[in-house]
Amino acid sequence: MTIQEQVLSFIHRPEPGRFDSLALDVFRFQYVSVPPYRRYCDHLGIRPETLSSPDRIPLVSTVAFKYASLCAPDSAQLPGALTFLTSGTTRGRQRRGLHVVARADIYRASALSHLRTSMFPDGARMRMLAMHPTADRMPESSLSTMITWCMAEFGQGPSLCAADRWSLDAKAALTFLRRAAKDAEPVCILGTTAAYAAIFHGLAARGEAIALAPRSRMMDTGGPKGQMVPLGAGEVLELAQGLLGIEPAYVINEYGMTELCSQLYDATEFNAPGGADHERVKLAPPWMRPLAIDPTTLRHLPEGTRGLLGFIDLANVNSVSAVLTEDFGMVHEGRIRILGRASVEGSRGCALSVAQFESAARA
Amino acid sequence: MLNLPSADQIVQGARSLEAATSDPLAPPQVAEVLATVLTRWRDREFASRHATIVRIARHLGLSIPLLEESLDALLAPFTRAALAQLAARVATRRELLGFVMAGNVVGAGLHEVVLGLLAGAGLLVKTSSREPWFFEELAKTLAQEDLRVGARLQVFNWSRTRADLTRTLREVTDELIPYGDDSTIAAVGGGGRMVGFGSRLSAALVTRGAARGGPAQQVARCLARDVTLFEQLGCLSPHQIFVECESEGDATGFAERLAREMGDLAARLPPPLDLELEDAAALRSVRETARWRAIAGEPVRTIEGPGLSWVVIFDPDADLSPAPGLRCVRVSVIRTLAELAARLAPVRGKLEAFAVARNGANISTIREVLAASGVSYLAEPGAMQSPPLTWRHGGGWFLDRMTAGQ
Repeated sequence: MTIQEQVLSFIHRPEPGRFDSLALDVFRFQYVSVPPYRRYCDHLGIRPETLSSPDRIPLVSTVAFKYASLCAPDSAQLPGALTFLTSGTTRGRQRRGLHVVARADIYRASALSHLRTSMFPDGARMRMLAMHPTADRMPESSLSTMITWCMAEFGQGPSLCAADRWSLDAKAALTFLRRAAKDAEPVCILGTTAAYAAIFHGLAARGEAIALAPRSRMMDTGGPKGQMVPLGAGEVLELAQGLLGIEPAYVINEYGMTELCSQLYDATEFNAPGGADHERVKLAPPWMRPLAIDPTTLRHLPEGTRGLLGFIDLANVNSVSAVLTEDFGMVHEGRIRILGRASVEGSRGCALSVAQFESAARA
Repeated sequence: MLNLPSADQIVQGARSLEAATSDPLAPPQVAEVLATVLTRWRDREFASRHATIVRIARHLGLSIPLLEESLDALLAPFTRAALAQLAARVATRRELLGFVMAGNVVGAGLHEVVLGLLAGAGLLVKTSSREPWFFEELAKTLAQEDLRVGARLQVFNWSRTRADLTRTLREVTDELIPYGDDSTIAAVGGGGRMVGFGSRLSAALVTRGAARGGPAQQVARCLARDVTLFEQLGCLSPHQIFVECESEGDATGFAERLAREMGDLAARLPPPLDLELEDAAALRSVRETARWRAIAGEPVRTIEGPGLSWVVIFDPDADLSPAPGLRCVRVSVIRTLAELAARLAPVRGKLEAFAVARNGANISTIREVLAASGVSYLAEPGAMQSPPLTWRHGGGWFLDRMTAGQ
């Protein structure tokens, strides 16, 4: 069985006891097949045959996706391969990260399996409203692709994509939601937190609230990105309940990025009965191991310690699985608390900081 | 931690300053007192200085040798002669000035405090929560040396979140002078009677001929010191070194020399043992970016010390941009001074100082190019952290005001 088939099999039938050995096999495969990753490992003096635990698999910073082609040569030309670009808006950087997903079926299996567990544990199918462009409108967006798959897999009845790459059609979205409410049919809404902010603002400005049917649910993602005054997680819950009638347990925040084929979702009473903490935490799928990393040593930090979040995502089998993000967080018993984005603020006080420089450059 | 003042205590402090400044003192007289006090502070054995450094080292996680050498550099220009010369230039001003100090660099603001005292102003200083000790201890030494001069400097400490106390400071002073980044200045509040020293950036130029052979080693040693002192967190810390040369070989050779010197200095002036997570993440991001650009085939090279202790990034074509500090410096290549001007364009208006290693090159042309980019202070390599008392900090507006343009 190829390494890709082994990963696919693991996604369909996870065996937690096999994670370590499969992660090492995936690393060996990537060391051989992804030349820039091999160069990086060689630079660190790490060779696959010397590793006996996934703890020492070299993590690749997400910045690497901006500069190096982290896939096997010619992967992008394979039939069915998908090429995704990062949004490039964070901190105003010009250069965009690129992630080639040579096997879309593995990405799809990963995305849908964890969506099923996190958003549709009740097996429901329902009306779908996308407040982010679908893949036909924004093929370079991994979120668009995921939303498209989600709508096809879990949708039933009318569905609407109310956004293109430039804007959200809030009027169309609200019309769709009003209709669903009138029909007493549950809806699943998928979109960025910024898109929800626009909808909430529109409803609040009109003094309107839409009472969506029970079991309606929403997935928001992206956090403060694209928002002038970012909505906090608590505000999203409050506004979703107050303006759309969606119970907090059905309001589920997603954490994902172009560089990863797997995602995290909030644990709530809906998808993790009895296991949801008072403060929201996120759950990774069994084929993804979350890690808190010490940025100084690049070593794994003990449980519950604040660090940079890293992941070993087996679904990234055709690129690089061990990824170091620029987000702070902590991991405890497999639950992840996201603590925000590293600011690259650096020096403070009378020295000009990187963040000040970049905000001035944007202006 | 120091006691938190009440608004009444700040008002009372302002009244005391008014009373003190109503008793005029001749600038040369103040200069004499300051000279005595600062001579004491230049002595590493001076108990107040030592205690202050130990506290700061513990609180900020900085090494004592680094703090000692940084403070030595800052205090070096405050000689009796230099103070006397400045005293002869100041215009007497009976006013109350409020200072909101930054906490990243011990003693930052000393030049303006000294100028204000020489000019006869009363100074109300709010220190940073990160570093509340230096001015507090200096004020005590001043009061011990001369009650009349000491009575003109009042030091308080509160957090920037206490907007009410900062408002009181604004109300009781004739002018408020905040230091620090934009968020600090914003926290103080906008409006009249306030001119701030905002965030600034410094760099260095190694002219043709100074980057190779015997002089290069000395230049590298001096610039490594300029980078390292104050953990590269001040506005006078160079973030990038431009090497003027025809072939990149000279510049890479210089980067290697600089790296060796950075390593030697790290052994003598140890970097922080425990970085704050945010700082470590910023340093990690800069290094990984350089590393992956190199892996991708860009002509970028990273020479680094253990952990995140220091790093020299050879990035030949980079425009001037800030590094995260904490001993992270870029080395870039320029062919002409016109090219240098273009590389400085992104930070025009935000530049403070340049160290220039010129090895016979015409300084007036260099000065012209850098002045056009907004650089107000040119220093020899190794002297960046020791600006003269006449340093035109932030473009010189405060110096001009205190000397009435003399």
